[in-house]
Order: sequence, then structure tokens, then C-alpha cells
Amino acid sequence: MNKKWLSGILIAALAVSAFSACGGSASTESSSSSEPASSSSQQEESASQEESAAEASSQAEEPSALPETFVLGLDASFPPMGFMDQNNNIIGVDIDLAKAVCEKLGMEFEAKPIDWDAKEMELNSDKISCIWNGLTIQEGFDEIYEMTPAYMDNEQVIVVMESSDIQSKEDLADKIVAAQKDSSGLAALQKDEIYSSIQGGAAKEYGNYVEALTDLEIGRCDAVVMDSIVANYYINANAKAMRVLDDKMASEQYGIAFKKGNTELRDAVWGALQELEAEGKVAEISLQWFNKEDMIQIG
Amino acid sequence: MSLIFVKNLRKGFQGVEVLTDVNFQVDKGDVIAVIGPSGAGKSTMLRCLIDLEKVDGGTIEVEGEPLVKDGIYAPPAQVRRATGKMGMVFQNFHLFPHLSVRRNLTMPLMKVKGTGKEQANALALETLKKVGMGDRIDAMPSTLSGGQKQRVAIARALMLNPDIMLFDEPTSALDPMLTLEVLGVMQKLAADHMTMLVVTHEMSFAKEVANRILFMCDGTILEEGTPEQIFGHPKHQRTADFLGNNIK
Amino acid sequence: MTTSEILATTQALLQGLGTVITLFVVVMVASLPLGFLLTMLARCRIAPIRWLVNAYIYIMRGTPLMLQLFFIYYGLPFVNDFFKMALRSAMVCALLGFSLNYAAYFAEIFRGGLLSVDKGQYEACQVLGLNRVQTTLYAVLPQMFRVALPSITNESITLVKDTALVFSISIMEVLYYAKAAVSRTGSILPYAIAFLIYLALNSLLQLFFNWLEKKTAY
Repeated sequence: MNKKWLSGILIAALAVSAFSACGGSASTESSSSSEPASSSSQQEESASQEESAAEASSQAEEPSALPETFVLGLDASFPPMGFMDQNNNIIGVDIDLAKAVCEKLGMEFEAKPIDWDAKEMELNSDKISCIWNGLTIQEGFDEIYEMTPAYMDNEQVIVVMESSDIQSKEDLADKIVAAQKDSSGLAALQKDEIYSSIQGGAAKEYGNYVEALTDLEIGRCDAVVMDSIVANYYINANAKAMRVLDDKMASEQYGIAFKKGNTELRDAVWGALQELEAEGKVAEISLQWFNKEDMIQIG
Repeated sequence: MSLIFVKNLRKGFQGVEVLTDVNFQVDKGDVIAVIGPSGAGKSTMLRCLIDLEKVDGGTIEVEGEPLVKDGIYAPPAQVRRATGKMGMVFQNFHLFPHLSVRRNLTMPLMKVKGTGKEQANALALETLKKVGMGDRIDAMPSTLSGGQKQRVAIARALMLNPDIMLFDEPTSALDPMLTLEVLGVMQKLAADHMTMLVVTHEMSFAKEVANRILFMCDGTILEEGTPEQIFGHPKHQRTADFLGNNIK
Repeated sequence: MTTSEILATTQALLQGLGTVITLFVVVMVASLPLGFLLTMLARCRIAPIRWLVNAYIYIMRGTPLMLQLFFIYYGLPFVNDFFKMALRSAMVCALLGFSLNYAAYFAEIFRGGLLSVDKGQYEACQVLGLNRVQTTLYAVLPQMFRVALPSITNESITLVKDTALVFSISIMEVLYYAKAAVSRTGSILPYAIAFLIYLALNSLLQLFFNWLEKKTAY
């Protein structure tokens, strides 16, 4: 009892500090945006100082808009979007995109693996600049993040063993269905009408999708609901005797999340992505990872 | 001048009077046996002398210097000086189990008096020989018998060159054979004119080694005298009863 | 997985070993003396100090280490600029959090060790003329340490395993690299490799403490 009570206090303290952080950063945001406003009013007053004032305002704006180092927060176990190679270098679709963006915007690039459960705290305490890791755009995200539009389509699909008798979504009735905890796959499964008829009336939850797929192979579950991008990559890369059903659970899209209030960085990154698409760089990255030019669509 | 002078000593534990009124003195060269039934306050009296217990009232003087006068304690430095003139041997030895016999003897000397290591080692060997333990100088206490432990404990107390040795039932934790070897050492000390105050149940020691006997009962010294007087002609019925029971 | 893949994966996991070892060494060196200090302060004659120390131990032992790490890493930097600067590095936060947490456990272990030291030892010291500090240093501490040693061994083995928690504040260590390797290779074999790495570390530790126990036996 005491433990719960105390950790409750700790959590409360954490929450308070996190909230005060939001408040504090929002106020600095507004004060910095008021600066260029006042300098522009000066501009109107004296036309002779126009040049120097313009210089001053551009100097004042630039450092507040873009950080020197762009820290991309990710769960580095999400191939092919962001993961580690054999030497623990972080690679992936999102990493290549972000690197190109940083080059364009003149920022240092850094990929920072984070605990996925702590991603909001990482973002709110400015330890990362964004969450960019095959993040499914979900309802309510606009209230906690500054989201970009979608840059990739994704589907929540059902993976079963090659030899399984499951052919359609309806066949999931009375079967053990698994998903990664806190994932959009789980969310899609829970929203689906089939959910109430699966075995136990609830999904079996796993820490990550590899564990779920391993249990699928062992036979502890009959189907796994997960991202199509990852599922296809996993089955192909590891030559698993698994297949993806034609029936989809849900269609969704990937976006990039920035700290609430930081629209400048979000808009700069999105703008750079649009330019990269026009230059053909995005198609190049798509081809490299998916053997298809049109997997990534900016806007 | 007496080495120890005790007057009107009172001491209670949580309202129970353990020492009601203790008066005696110890002169140089005295070997005094303190005898009496359990619960008479013998050990408490001894512990008060060396400041392991605080008295409630009375006076203790060591070599003319008060440790406590009419229930008021002297300043800490003076208390330490007074107790420093005494050595104490416990019923359960209280050797330092993590130190060898050698370090048990030399550590206090080196730390308290700042004696050098070589000098301390030489003195340790000499003192151990006195108690017949010279050959076990590098043993750990856990490898010694009870009698050997007590002899080492006596040697440890002697290292600091006390004027008076206090023994708190030094043989009560030992079987008869081991008791003899410890009593032998104490007898030798007495022969060397060490002043000793011994709380004991060993009537043979009291009879043969001590020059005076204090018979304690109900927190006071009921009777005091030479062994001949106490054993031969006890004045009090309680003394006679106690000795009668013990000799049987 | 092929042999060469296993070797490469092992190598990748071993990159996290530095973190584990750094954490272990620094935390042990910091928390053992700090724990002892707490034990001593918990016996302080000034009551408010005792209360504070006991409250500290109570809170540190009564709450999950992960939440404490969260608090230091994500919470404290918002308190003021000093913390913001001092706690910039996640590793500093981890070292601080682990040391403060383990000190509380060690304080309790030492307290148990102190209780086991016979009252007669203090009396022997007193009649031999040793002062309080000398009594503590030369008689009480060595005996307390000997009694506490098995529990210290236990805690340090737990510490090695607990280091996996630092990933919650974004520090890479063996278990995290194992997770990354699992999602890359689609095989759970990297977990087995991590298993062996932790086991090997703790075997070394166990050997060391066995030796120490033998050496300090009496």
C-alpha cells in the first residue's frame, strides 16, 4: 500500500514538473515571437533604418526557429523505419529522410534511441527534437503534439503461419490474437467488430512484435495484428513461413511529432521534405528501402 | 592512600535499587574477592567503578582523584584518567574476533598510547608469555579455547599497564578444567603484587588467593574480612547460609 | 542464425558492456560510503537528522528505481538552471539515481551489520580507552562489514542486472542492444547472448566476493 502511495506522489511530482515545463516553454515561445513583432513596428517608424532592422529581425528569428542539433527520437527496434545494424549504427527509412532534411536545413543530425514509453517526456523536456519513427497518426495527437501531415501509408494487417487455416478476418473467431502493447495494431484490433469474438475476448499483448511473432511460430497464438510495413519486412528479411491476410484491420498513416508549440521546426522540416520530394530524393530513398518509388508521399 | 575508595554508592535500574549503599576501599597490593548470591549487585558495582554504568549517588575515588563525588561526575577527561588506571576482564572475554591475538593486544596500546609497532609487538609477546600464551601470538581468537581466550583477554588488559585489575566473573563461562588455567594466571598476577578486585563464584580462589573478601547481599556489602574470618567465623547468618550452600 | 551472425551480434551487445561496468563501479564506489554515512546519521543524537535519514531510506526503498530515474532525468531539470546544467548527461542522472538508491539499501544492510556487533565489543573498547571514532574504525566497522558482506554481494549482483533499467532514460546498454538485435534479425537468440553476458559478469563478481569472504573470515 505504502509503495503505491509513494510512487503515486512521485508520479504526481513528475506530472507537475512536466506540466510546469509545458507552461514554461510556451511562455518563452510567446516572448520570442513578440520580439520580431516589436522590431517590425520599429521598421515602419524609420524607413531609413530598414536594412539594418531587417538584418536584426532575421538574426533574431533564425536561432529560435531551428536548433543546432536535430535530435531524432526513436525506438531503434522498428525495421525498416528506424533500427540498428550489426554495429549498432542506427539506420532506416526515417533516418535517411531526416538526414537529408538536416543537410538541407543546416542542422547537425543525431538519432537518439529512447524508451518508447517515455517519448512524451523526452519531447517535453527538450531531450529530443521530434518523434520520427513510423509513428501512426492517431486521434488526439494534435492536442499533445505538433503533427506533420502524413508521409506514408500503412495498414494494420493480420499475420498468420503459412500452414494456418485462417484465411479471412472472420476466421479469427475463437482464435488467440496477439499484438504489441500500446500499438496502433492493438488499437485497430480493439475497434474491430471481430474483437469480441476472439478467444478470451481480449488480445494477447507483447512487449514487441518480434516476441509476438516468435510466439506465433511456437504456437502460443494464432495470429498477430501489426504494421504491414514491418510485417512484410520481417517475413521477407527472415524468410519466415508466414503470410499476411488480404483482409486489413485498418488503414493508417505515418507522421512526425514535434513538441506542442514548436510549429517553426515542424514547418521547416515539412518544407524541406517537400523540396526533397521535388528533387527526387524521396523517391530514391523509397526505392532503396522498398524497391518501389512511390511508397513515401510528402503531403 | 587507597587505590579505590567507594562511599555510599547507589544505583538503580528502572526504579529497582540494585546497589543500596556500598562502602569499601582497595589498598595497593590487595587481592579482593567479591562474593555473594546472584543478583546481589556484584557485577553492577564493578561496572560502576570503570564507568560502564552510571551511579545514582555516592562517591568513587581512584588514587585519590574523584571519578564521581556525591553523585556528581567529574569532567570526561578526569573520568577517562581515573578509569584508565584500571584494567577489566569480562566473563565473556570480549576479544576482537576479527583481529589476531597479537593485534588484540597491540591495537589498543598503539591507538590509545601511540606506542610504536615494534615496541608494542615486543610487549605483546612478553605479556602473552606471562599468561602462557606466547606460542599462540598469531592465532585468531576463534581458534582458541575459552580458557585461552580469557588468558589473552587478561594479557590485553595488562598491556595498558593498569594499577588495578577488575575481574567480572572471569571463569563463569568456563568448564572446570579451563577454570583452573585461568585461576592459575590470576594467582600468578597476585603473586606479582597486582592489585585485583575479583567478582567470583570460585570459593577456592577466594579462600586461597584473596587477602580480603567482600560478601555482598541485596545491594550492599554485608560483611567484609579476611578469608579466615569470612569462611571460619561468618558474623551474619546470610553469609553462613551462602557459604554453606556453596561448599556443598 | 549463422555463427558469423552470432559473433557479430555478440560484438554488438558487448558495446553495452562499458555502460554496465561504468555504472557498476561508480555506483558501488559512491553508494557504499554514502550508505555507511546514512547508517551513522540514522544513529545521530539529533532527532531531526535521524528522521530525515529514515525518511530518505523509507522513500528510496519504497519506490521503484525506474520512477526515481525518471524524476531525476525528466523532472529535476525543470526545477532550476543549476539542475538543468548539471543533469544534462543521462549517464550523470543514472549514476546519481542508482547511487542514491543503492545507498539506501546499503544503509539498511550496514544497520543490520551494526546490530550484530556484540555490546561487549563496545564495552571492551571503552575499558581499553579507545574513543568513539577509534571504536568505530578498529572494532565495529570490520565486524559490521564482515556480517554485511553476503548481503552486499547480493545487492551488487542485483545492481548488475538493474543496470538494464537505464534505458528508461535513453542510455544504451546490453539489454537494449539485444532488443535492437532481436528486431533486426527476427530471432530471439540475442536475448540468449545477453543472458550469457550478464551471467558471465555476475560469475566474475561472485568469484571476487567469495575470495573476499574467505579473506575476511575470522
